[in-house]
Formats: sequence, C-alpha cells, structure tokens
Amino acid sequence: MKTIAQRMGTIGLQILAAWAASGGFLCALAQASPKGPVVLTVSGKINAPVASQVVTFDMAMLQAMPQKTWTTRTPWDVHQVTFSGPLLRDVLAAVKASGSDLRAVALNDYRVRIPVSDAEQFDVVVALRMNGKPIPVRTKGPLFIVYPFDANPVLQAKLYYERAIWQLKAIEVE
Amino acid sequence: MRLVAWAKRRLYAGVFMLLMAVVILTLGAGTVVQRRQAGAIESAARIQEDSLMSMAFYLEREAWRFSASMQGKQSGEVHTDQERALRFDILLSRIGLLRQNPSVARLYKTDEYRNLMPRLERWVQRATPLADQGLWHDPAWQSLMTEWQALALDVQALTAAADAVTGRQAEEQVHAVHQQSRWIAWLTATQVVALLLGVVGLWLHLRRVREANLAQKRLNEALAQAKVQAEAVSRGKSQFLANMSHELRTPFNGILGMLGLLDKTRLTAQQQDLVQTARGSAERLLRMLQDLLEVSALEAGQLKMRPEAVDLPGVIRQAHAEIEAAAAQKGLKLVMTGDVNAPVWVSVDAPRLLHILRNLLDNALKYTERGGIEVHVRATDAGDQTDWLIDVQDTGIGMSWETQQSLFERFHMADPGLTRKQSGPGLGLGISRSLAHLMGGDLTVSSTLGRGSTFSLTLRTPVVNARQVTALTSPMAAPPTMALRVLVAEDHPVNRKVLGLMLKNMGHLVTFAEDGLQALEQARRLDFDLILMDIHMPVMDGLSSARAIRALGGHCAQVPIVALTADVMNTAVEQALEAGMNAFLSKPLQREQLEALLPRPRICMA
Repeated sequence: MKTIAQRMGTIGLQILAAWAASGGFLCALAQASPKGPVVLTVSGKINAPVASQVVTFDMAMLQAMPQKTWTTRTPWDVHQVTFSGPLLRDVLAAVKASGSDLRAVALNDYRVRIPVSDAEQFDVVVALRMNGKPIPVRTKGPLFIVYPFDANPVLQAKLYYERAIWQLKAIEVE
Repeated sequence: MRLVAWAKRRLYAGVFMLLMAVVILTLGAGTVVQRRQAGAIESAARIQEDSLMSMAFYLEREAWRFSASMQGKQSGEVHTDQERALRFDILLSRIGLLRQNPSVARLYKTDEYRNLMPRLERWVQRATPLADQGLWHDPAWQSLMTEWQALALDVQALTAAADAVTGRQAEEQVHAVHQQSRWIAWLTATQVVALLLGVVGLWLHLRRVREANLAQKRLNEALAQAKVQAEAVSRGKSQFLANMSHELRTPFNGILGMLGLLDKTRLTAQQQDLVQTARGSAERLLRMLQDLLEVSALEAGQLKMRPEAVDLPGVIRQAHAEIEAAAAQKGLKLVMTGDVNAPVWVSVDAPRLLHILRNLLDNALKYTERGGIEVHVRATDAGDQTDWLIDVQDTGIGMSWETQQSLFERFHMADPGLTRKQSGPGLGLGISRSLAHLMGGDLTVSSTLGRGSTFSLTLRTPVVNARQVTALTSPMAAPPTMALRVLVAEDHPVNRKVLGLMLKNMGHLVTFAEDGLQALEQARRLDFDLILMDIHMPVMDGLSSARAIRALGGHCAQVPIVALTADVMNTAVEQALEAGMNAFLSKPLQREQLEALLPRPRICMA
C-alpha cells in the first residue's frame, strides 16, 4: 500500500515525465548529442551547453524534425527542384536562438548574413533533400538554406539569392 | 486668287496633319522600343544571374585550396585524408556549378571556357574514382596534380574572362541606357519642334486673322468715306442740275415764247414756213434738253413720282391724238383698242406716263413706213389696284435680237450708220423704262426683224375713288372770256415780255413786277385775280414774296398764286406749295399751259 506522499511523488514524477515528453520534444532534441557525423554547428546567442558553447546536429536529428516540402525554380538550375527539410525557424527554436541575425557559413567559407525575420516571415527551409534524394557535397549538400522563390515574387531578387546558402556547415546567431 | 488661297489652306492643313502623324508615330515607336528594352531587362532579372564573377572566383579559390591540401607534408601543414576528400567534393561542386547553370550562360561563348571545361571534365573523370575510394596516396595523383597546376592557370584565366564578360555586360547595359536616353531626347526634341511649329503656325494664323481684321476695318472706313463722298457728289450734282435746269430753260422761254407769238401775227406763207421750222427745231431742242435733264435726274436718283388722280385712258387718248396728224401724213393706220373709252380714275404720275407714251408712239411712227400702229389697252382689276397692260404695236422695220438686247441702254442707237433715219441721242427708251420702273412697272419689247415691234408697258396703279378727285373750283371766279387782272413777277425782261404778250393776247390785263419785293408792293396796293410768280428773283425770291403776300391777309390770302420756274426739281414743287402757292408751272411757258390753267378745275400740273 503506497502512502499519500509516495502517491504524490509518483504523480509528480509522472507529470514531470509527461511534460518532459510532450513539451520538451525539441528541448530533448537540443540536449541530445549527434550520433552520426556533424553536419550543422550552431553557436552564438543560443541555449548551448556551458562547456562547448555550440549545439551540433547530425543528419538524423534534422531528419527527425517536422519536414517541409515545396518545389521552386532557382537560378542555379534549368529545371524546377523539389526541396524538403526542417523549417529554419524550427531549427532556431530548437536551439532557443535569441539573436536577430544569423551568420550562415558554408563549407568553402562563404558567409552570408540572414536576418531572423526572414525565417519567421518566409518558409525558409534547411533542405536536406533535393528531388527526394539526399544532397551530395559535390553538388550543394549536405544542407541548403532555400527560400520558396516561386511562392513569392519578392524573393526573386539578388538579396535572397545570396542568402540561399548551400553547403551549409554552421550558423552563428547574433 | 480664291483658288490659290484655298490651295494654300489645304497645304497648311496637310502639313499640320503630317506633323501630327510624325509625332504620334515617333512616340509610338519610342514607347514600343522602351517597353521591349524594359521587358528585356526584366526578363534578365528574372533569370537571375547570380554573380558570374563569384562563380569563377570561388572555383579558382577551391582549385588552390585543393592543391594546398594535396601538398601534404611538403608545406609543413598536416592535412588529413578527410580534409582532402572534403576539399575534393567542394571542388567538384564548384566545377559542377559551371555546367548547366543559367547564370553562367554568358561565359559559354568565351574561348577560355571552351578551352578549359573539357580538360577539367577529363581530369575530374580520372580523379573521381581515386577520391571515391579514398586512395589519397596513390601515385597516380602525381601526374594528376602536375596537370592540375597547369589547369589552375587556366582557371585563373577563366576568372579574368568572367570579369571581362561581366564588364561587357555592364557596358552593354550602360549603352542600352544611353540609347534609351538618346531616344527619349530625340523624341522630346521632336515634340518640342512640333510644338514650336504649331505655335508658330498659330501665331502666323493669328497674325493673318488680325491683318484680315485690319484690312476689313480699313475697308469699312474707306467705304464710309466713299459713301460720304458719293453723297457729297450727289448733292453737288443735284445742285448742278438745278442750276443748269434754270439756266437753260430761261432762254428757251424766250425763244419759244417769241416764236409762238410771232406765229400768231400776220405772216407771209414763207415767213410762216420759216417760223414753223424754227419752232420745230426749238421744240425738238427743248425736248432733248428735257430728256437730258430727266436722265441726269434719274441718274442722280432725284426723280420722284408725283402721282395724282387721273383718268388714265384719257391720258392714253391724249398721247394717241398727238400723233394722229403725223400718222395720217405718213399714210399709216392708227387704232386704239381695249379699255380706252370708259374713264378709269387711278393715282399715277400723268406727265411721266405721257412722256413714256409719247416716246413709244414717236418711235413707232419713226420706224414704220407702211401699215399701221395699234395701241391696245387692258385694265385688270386687282383689289384696290388696277393692273395695266398697254401695247404699242407697229408694222415697222422691226429689230434683230441683238438690238433688242441692248435697246434700253442709254445712248443706244438701233442704226448707227451714216444714213440716219432717226435723230435724237437715243435716250428715250432708257428713260422710259427707268420711269416705268419708278412707277412700279416695266417696259418690254418683242420684235421681229422686217415684220414690226410691240412695246409693252405694264403698270399697277392704286384705284382712286371718283369722289376723291378734288373738284376744286377754278381759281378763277370769272368766266374765261372776262379780262383778268394778272400780276406777273419775273426778273428776266425777255420772259416778262413773253408772258405779257401772251396774256394780252388772251385778253387779260397785266401788271409787272421785277422782283419779289415789287410784287409784294403791287399786291398790297392793288387787287389781282391771278399772280404769276417766278421763283428765282433778286431782292426777294418768289417763295418769300408769296409767303409775305399771304401774310397780308384779306384778299391777298386768297388770290391764286402760280409759281413759274425753270427749276423742275421735286423739292421746288413742295416748297412752292408750302409757301402758299396754288399751282406750279414750269418754264418755258407754253401758251397752252396758260390756257389750261385758267378755266379748269385746279389740278397741280408740272
């Protein structure tokens, strides 16, 4: 026979577990460490572990997040391309980013500044699949920040084309 | 002249239309060009050329970084195989970007690209299997890297080419902008020119209009002045006519009067013959003079009709009777038909009518050698008017069509040959027609050469009630056989003599006055049965004298005063009547006129 205190404690634990389970999906994700090779490193004004000051993701972690898919034309391809991946704002939410600007860095050290408002205003995606297939480094992989160009004529400008960074390796939140 | 002006106007209109068309066309063309260029720019923007330069530059960079990563221990840096693999992958991605990339399209045409790309592809084909398997220390890399050094230089050249292409594109765009600006400038200039031309045209037009207005105004002024002048001239003419009338008639009075009296004296047959000839000539001369004065009066517009109550058929009969003797002498038959017997009282200027009839009958007589002259009269009732048609038909020599056309012109002569059958200055018919017109009618002719002519006179006269005929009593109370006391006021001694003798022959007592003042004196002192008063006299003229005599009152207010004057102008008659005179006789005075004056009911006669 459990005592009231014991029962309270059990209930409390259950509540805690539930909260942790339901609400903290993303938080859980944040606390999780990548098991595969790191594909994205996020640093800056985020909720990072004290020791490393960075949050790293592997492909599986990104794949586990809710995926968004749409098709658009781009200036780098003759044909239309279908992109799918997590929304950039979801990724930022996962690391509890509190800055106003992002510095996105590519594998060849190309850097570009992306305002956080872009991620909130548009369905900017961190694409990890192009036309259903994972993106090899030898094209634009592994990650490609893409704007839905066709969906909004405003985006069909040099400004946004510059921000659509491929071979993404890191995001610095400022 | 009008045609030229019309043609000019059409020319201006045509030029204007052309200008408008040019402007519209150029504007249209310019707009189309501009739109197309804007469209091109837009579509270019759509394709979205990502920076060509950065593509080439990044390739070059990755090429060097790959070289560096492959150098290994030589440079002192430690590069892992993992790093090499990454660098290779990135290099390949950069090479990939040069293929099938709409942004790089402009680079395809360059020699550098066409030179580099195949070699690059071949190198990639050889290197990829090694990289895929991770064989980073294979000796095959030796030759590959040597080749890579050479390729790297060409990659650098490609960057330069990309720069050139980009620069050229920028230049082209600038050029396009310049062209557009030039187009716009030209268009604007054309528009401005067209506008200026329009303004100039308008200004010219306005000036022409203003000039036309000025000309119009000047014309109006000139016309007004001309009118004033013409009126002055007319007045001058009237005055001249009045003077001439007087001057000419006065000696005539003497000539005719004297001849008339001479005729009454006992003469030998030869003397009578001489006197008759002289009289005939004088009378003809008088008629010609009268015609001349009449024409002048008509030309000056001075002639006014003075209609009075008249038995028109009676006037016709009188005219007819006048040529009876001459007709009989020529062996011509003379008839009168139609409404000539019953009296029809109408209001008409009888002397003028008589003038016309005499003219027509004289002509008929002149131009007819055999056969006869018929006067046919038709009177038609037209309410309170009577329409008259009087035909004078003869069987004379007739007239050709040409002659008929110009018959009524002044100074026209039907036969201007040397053998002149007729005399006279040819004024008659012209005057007759003018008189007919003044009377509200017309005079026309129809003739056949060799067969005869018919002159038709049409008139419309107001009907006069027989009661309206002033049956005034004779100014003379006494019967004609009784001797009257007559005062003759006349300044000209010859005229005095003539009158005096005439009256004495008629059995009247004559007293003379030489001017108006004397007449007044005489009238005051003595009682007269009749005063014959000349108008134009020295000291006091006839009108003033008459007024003064009337002012004396008593018997003088009643005594008949008859004006005698050579002045036949209309105003003279009115003035005379206003001054209190009863009747009016024009000089030269014929005996018959005097006789007619005395016993008849008073009708104003000229």
